[in-house]
Amino acid sequence: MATRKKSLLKVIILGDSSVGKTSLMNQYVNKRFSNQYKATIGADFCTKEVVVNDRVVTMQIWDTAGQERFQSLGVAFYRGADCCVLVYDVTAPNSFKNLDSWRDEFLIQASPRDPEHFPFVVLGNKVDLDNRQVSTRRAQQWCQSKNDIPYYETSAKEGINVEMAFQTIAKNALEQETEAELINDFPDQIRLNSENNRPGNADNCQC
Amino acid sequence: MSDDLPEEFDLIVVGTGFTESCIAAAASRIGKTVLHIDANEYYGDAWSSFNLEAFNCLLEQPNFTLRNGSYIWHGPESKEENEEMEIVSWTRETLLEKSRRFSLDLSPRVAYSDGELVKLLIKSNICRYAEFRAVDHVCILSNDELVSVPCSRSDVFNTKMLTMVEKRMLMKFLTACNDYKEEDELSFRGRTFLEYLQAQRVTDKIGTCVMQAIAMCDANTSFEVGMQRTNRFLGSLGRYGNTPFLFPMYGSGELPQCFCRLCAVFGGVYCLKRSLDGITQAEQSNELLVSSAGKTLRAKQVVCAPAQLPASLARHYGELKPHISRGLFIAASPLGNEELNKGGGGVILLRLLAEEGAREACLLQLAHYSGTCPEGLYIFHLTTPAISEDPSADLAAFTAQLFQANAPQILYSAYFTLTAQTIPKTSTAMPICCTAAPTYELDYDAAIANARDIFDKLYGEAEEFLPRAPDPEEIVVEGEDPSALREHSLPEDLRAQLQQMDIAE
Repeated sequence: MATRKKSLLKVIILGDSSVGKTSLMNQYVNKRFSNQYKATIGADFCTKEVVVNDRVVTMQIWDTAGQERFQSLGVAFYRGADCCVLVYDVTAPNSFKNLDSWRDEFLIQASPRDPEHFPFVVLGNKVDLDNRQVSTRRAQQWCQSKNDIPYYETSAKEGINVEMAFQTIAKNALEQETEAELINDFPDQIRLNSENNRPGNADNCQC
Repeated sequence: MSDDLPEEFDLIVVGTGFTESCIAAAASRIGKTVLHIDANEYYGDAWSSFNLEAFNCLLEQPNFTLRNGSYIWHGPESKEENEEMEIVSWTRETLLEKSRRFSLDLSPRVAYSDGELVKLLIKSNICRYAEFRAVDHVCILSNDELVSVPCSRSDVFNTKMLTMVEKRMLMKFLTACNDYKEEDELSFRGRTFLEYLQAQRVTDKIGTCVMQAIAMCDANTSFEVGMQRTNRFLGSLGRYGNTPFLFPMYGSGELPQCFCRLCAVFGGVYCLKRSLDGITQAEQSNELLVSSAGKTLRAKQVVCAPAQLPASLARHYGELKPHISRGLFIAASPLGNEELNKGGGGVILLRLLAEEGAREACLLQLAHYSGTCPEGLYIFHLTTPAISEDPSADLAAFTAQLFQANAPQILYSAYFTLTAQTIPKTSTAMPICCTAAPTYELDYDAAIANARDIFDKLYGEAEEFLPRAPDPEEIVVEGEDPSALREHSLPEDLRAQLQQMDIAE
């Protein structure tokens, strides 16, 4: 039974529709912002290599693919997440109120081993807009009440705080690994693709 | 939540089972606008997986898909009741505490490593959403004992179940099958595979291995079909694990969700807890008017799972009959000896026969590394074609074989029936396509063929069924500078330069 350290971090982004989940991901990974995507089409997941504590890890950031729109995210989406990013829109109070249910939903669906210490990060997005409705204080209070979740105010459009927020996301996801000496829950998983996974073991050839 | 659901779609798919999800993904992939709904609050319909609590609820409340459900706890209720026992054991309480660690399949399947499902997942690039585990052993029952069928050369060499002569005989037989071409062995055309096997003068043990595990035949299986199945087994060897089979991590219920995700990524709209209430043909157009949750939606086409048809239509599709009898057991010890279950392994496939081979059942043992149960527990899935409304009676002949000698410590057992409609061949009066309920099969071949058929019927054979989806890096969003997205393929130093330029801008 191998206890392998993970070099791939799965990060999922949750939050109400149109709070800017896809834009944040795109700004971070592609350094681009586009007003084009209304609802999320074509947004799947992005990968980016990051250096955390002198270690190179691949961060895989998963978008909801729009399935959150009618509360229809399946449990498969939550499997094996190492960090959960909760996003709300600072100009939309409802999206802030819903953070509670998104957090609960994550803990139920992903059922992490140590729910008390599972790394969340909260992002208050769209700070570039004028009509702000949720105060920093209110958001910080909520984060403190939930076991001190790190909180960042971002603008995917202007690229404000995005890099820093995701650096924290990567760091916390990895830290929880070292803390609990977390092992890969299920070693020897198989990913299908056309080239890999062919064992070099000549012994396994057809009878 | 405001319901800003669009009102017009190319295709509305009802039910999120494997087959419907395949069709939804395929349609979305070629640019059709798709609405995918399900009356249930979960994905997968008759193909879904559940945690222990939800599974019990499902058994208590029969629906169109599932009936005759029952479950029994065999262990003690709680620790107090169990004080005198020294070994810490599982109780009803502790099992329910870990309810969410269970992923209990209604329709458990394995996939041939080179079978239809695996090929489709790779071809369509949906494989990026799924993870698998290799099935550790394919077994047969020999003198009430589980014996692993040797799958690789080294297995054949190392196995203690065969004598040296038998080892040579088995290798020779399998090599002959592997080299078999259609023009060979003309003399066996029209005869059975069993006759062919007997003509090779193999021993009983080898005969059992081949018939029960490798070719998965019965006495009436034709020579051609037996040969085909043997080669499907051999062709799937040496790809991923030690056996030709894969099992989806976290259960078979994950697979429909993988197809749904692809559909969503290409713009498909998802609404669970939403049923199809009625459907009529629009006047003066070919469109269908679909009523759902008090709204009328327009669709060019509708695909529906039989169990999710509105009552007004369901009667056209005949009666709901028992189709598959299922047993599900949670145990604190595995079937078979330690050798079969070492190293966290323990995913075992076993085909069982009863009534002189007239009936068969499939056993799938899952261990915690499959992501379907807590550590230290095992799940046994038993599946057989239904012959009555009593799933436990249907399976009695098989459970007797399994749990007689060296009985595992069973903590929980459940039985249920999966139903299917007796769809008459002429259902053309209905303007919608109905998918087939899950059939008794090991892999997904029939379900995929069903999905492909319906897709062809809807969009013609000229449209490709699930062509390769681009990787996220290859997708360029309109209005973006495509060069930026190609950063991934740039060497580190150039990427850094590009980023510098970005900042300078």
